[in-house]
Amino acid sequence: MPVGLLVNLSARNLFRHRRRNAMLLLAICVAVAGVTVLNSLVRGMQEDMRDAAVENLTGHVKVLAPGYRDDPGIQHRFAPGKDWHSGVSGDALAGWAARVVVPAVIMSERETRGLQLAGVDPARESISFLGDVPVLGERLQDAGDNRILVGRALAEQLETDVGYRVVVITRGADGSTREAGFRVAGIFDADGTALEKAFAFSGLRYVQSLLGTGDVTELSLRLRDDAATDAVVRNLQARLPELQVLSWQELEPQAAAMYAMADTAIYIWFLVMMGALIFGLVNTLITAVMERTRELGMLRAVGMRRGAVLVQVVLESALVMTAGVTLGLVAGAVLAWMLRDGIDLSRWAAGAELAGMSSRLVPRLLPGDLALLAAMSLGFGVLASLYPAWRAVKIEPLEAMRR
Amino acid sequence: MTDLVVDCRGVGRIYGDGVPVRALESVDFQVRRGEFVSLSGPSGSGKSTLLNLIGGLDRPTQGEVRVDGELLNALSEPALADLRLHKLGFVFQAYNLIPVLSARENVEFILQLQGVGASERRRRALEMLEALGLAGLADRRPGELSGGQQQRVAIARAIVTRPVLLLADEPSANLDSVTTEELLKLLRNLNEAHGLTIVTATHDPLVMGYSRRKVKLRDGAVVDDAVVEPV
Amino acid sequence: MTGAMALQIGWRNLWRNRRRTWLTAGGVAFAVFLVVATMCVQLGSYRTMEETATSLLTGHVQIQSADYVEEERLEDALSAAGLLAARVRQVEGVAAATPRMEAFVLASAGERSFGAQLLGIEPQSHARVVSFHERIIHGRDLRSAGEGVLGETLARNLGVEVGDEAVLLGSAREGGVAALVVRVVGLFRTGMAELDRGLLLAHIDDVREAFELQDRVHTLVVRTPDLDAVDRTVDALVTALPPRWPEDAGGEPVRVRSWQEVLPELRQAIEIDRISGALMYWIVMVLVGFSVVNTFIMTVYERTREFGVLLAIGMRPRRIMVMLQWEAVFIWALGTGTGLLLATALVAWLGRVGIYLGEEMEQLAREMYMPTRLYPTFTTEALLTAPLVMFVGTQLAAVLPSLRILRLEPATALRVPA
Repeated sequence: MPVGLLVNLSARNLFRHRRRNAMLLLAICVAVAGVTVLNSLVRGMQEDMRDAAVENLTGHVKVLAPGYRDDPGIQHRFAPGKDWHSGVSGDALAGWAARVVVPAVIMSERETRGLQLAGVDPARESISFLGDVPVLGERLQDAGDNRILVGRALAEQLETDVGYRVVVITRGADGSTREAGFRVAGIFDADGTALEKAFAFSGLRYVQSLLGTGDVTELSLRLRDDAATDAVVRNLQARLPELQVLSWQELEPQAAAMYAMADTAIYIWFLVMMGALIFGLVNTLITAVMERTRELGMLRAVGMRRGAVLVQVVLESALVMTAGVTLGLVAGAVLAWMLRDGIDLSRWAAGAELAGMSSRLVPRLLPGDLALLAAMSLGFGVLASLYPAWRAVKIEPLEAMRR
Repeated sequence: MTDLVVDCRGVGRIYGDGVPVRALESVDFQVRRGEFVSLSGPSGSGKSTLLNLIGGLDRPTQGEVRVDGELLNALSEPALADLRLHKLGFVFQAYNLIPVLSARENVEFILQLQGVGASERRRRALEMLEALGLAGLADRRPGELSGGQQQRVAIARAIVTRPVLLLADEPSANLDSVTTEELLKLLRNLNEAHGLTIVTATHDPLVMGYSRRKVKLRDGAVVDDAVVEPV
Repeated sequence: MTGAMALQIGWRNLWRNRRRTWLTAGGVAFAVFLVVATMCVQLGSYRTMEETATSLLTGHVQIQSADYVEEERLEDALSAAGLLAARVRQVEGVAAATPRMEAFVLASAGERSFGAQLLGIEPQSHARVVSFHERIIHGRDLRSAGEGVLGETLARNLGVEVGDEAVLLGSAREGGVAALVVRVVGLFRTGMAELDRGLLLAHIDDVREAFELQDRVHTLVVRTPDLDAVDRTVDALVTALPPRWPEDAGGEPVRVRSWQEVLPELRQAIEIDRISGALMYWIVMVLVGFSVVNTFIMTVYERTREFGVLLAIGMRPRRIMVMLQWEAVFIWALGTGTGLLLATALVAWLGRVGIYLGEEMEQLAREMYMPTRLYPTFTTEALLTAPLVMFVGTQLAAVLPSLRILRLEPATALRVPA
């Protein structure tokens, strides 16, 4: 097959009707740029949802005592062995933290609220939102710190402030009620999310002593690469058979479902855009074939095979697509770059949180996605050209003799 | 190898399914190597149908068509295309040049279809254009050429492959008489000096005048077949 | 040429290239179908989300002390609750109203205790305002004093079952200890983890007594005949109620809030979804617009010679343009008709059988106040947006290429090969 000739002819035909091919190119460009930007936003959202899920004390992987998830209390505690994490390679592990998280009631002089009291080692909490959350007042010093860190929304409800005292009531390891006074070390600001009301933090060793145990209720691991999650879960579960090892997808099924849904959304968007595009594409290609009836007839008359005519039309479509897709990807990437500071969703912060997103949506371009988009668009261009190509193939050599 | 370039025996062609139109009725027609034949007759006489059948562009409903010894009836579509590519040259009434290609490329592409290498086909195309007096116009596109120049490019395209037979369908229809005469001189020269076999369908007396053998058709049958010495 | 003639010629011209006409109209149909159908699903799901969310506990309108809205302090309850409720029930648009007390308690059973939100409700009127009673999965709904209804998870954490007793401790208005013992008569499951783990309901009389809030109310929850009546009813309530309650100088400031204000996250989530949906609609409609422009570029190009003839015999360019505009109208009508027909058929069918979201989505749906099946509904907005936008789009798409006709010289046009 004379491939060189076909490419040459197809390419030149693109410049035959500049206006309408420019229009077609523009349409492809808009569709591809649109999908690219939307794709980058969806990826940004996914990342956000996963980070939010992972950072809100969940981590990529969590180790719990069996029964803790159903009944999160100190009765479901465990003592991690010294080298429990030796099965996880240091390269995969970004960090880990041991915590005691128990239900508690917190009281100020004016108000009473229920929450989770978390005993943490501040040095290890770089893996969670606690590591970099803005704090009014002071952060916890170390695992022995006997002060408390509360969320802003909770502090407002309790009408408490930095330096004030609050009382925390919870149940000790022996089942008896424990009551302790804490001084408020600081107030953390988690963008008004539910975290502000759900957790209060104090030093791990201090909370352990309050509860009368040296055990913890959870181990949380942050990994360098999300993809390693499943392998780490299997690995740890094998080493800690008596404990429950869970991935973030299992711990935050909503976030995982949203995450998976976003993947599908990208394909739906693509199909919708291409669906809207196909009518114009097919229309233009058919016109291009029909107005060249005599020329295509001549090519057949002088001995071009049917297959070569078919390839010529398919190539023409593929070339328009390639040009449009290239422009579209560039335009989309530029748009995404212009949005690199993120789209401010703070007007809808609570709604965004309901959907697991943070209040700033930053687009993320993944090379793999761009390649997939380009490949799918090209495939689509070929698909759209099949009917016009079939019409072209049906043109008889006799057409060359007309007129 | 036979001396008969075209050998039609009992060739007929009926068009249409409902009311059949008999375009050609059992025609016997032969062309020897080196002949310059004109097929003429009023429209509907069957001259174009006969030309198309010889050119392998159409298939007869009866009879046999042989070109250069090959029975066209038996050839598959791709084989027929190959035969057209390698053995026949076509000149069309409407020139049928590809508007997006230059004159040289219009001549070259047929060699490209044959699989000739780039440098050789460029050389041959330029040689052919030069031989036809188009040397300076090789890089122009058809839109930038006159009708006569376009038809000469079309002839260059048709003979650059050194075909066994050149088929020309109303080659002068879109040309004025001066240009037509130039074209005919060119064809006669190709016929006489290079031994190219030519069959043309025409109703132009000028074209008939230049041919060496005049075949007249009427209502799908050959009514006159005369060899004349050229003027 | 008369207008009727332009119309007729436009219609005939359309069928000179059937394939192109149908492909162009097909694009319009695709856009109209897609946008109308998804908008019906979207708007329908918003409506169901809103209904699900408001009928759970929130109600359509809430009346509270403005201080309570701000601070959520126990003592900021409106007094003369009975009188207030009677006033509210007379306001036009109030289908039902129920008083509710809210307090934080430590719920204990045996050795175990958990913090929880306590709602004191008046069972009869409560059931007329919200349908929380439908969420009871074990036992029965609250009927009288001394009874309590607990979230499924809370009950499990406390280790209590229907028939057991739970002790509720909190701080009363004057700072004393509020203590209350309830017999668990039912367990509920809302699907929202926070509520199932941290909410319990008791009789309003018990709560008032224990927390020393006699004849007071934290929230009057109002139901209106339907969601469309909410804004009207809020206005009516604001007008009908005094700015402070009771009306004398010592009254608390009254605040009337619609569900949108009470559940901002729901309204915002809907808004985000609306915006992202609108983005898709617009891109799709623009794309189809391009395809219509292209069709007219091709049409005008192919008919240049014909237009030359018309101009040569003295037709005004404007007339030719009108003719082309009519062609655009027909393409729009064909496309929109087809698209609307398909969309309404699909939506009518889905409206009957519902869209099942799949097992994975069920939990997610509950958290988002969504039912597990979506029932799309027809709304004027959903039905009209795409057809109107596409009308303007096709008209514009036809104008741009046909501007060329204005610059057309009859002589040049005639020389173009047909």
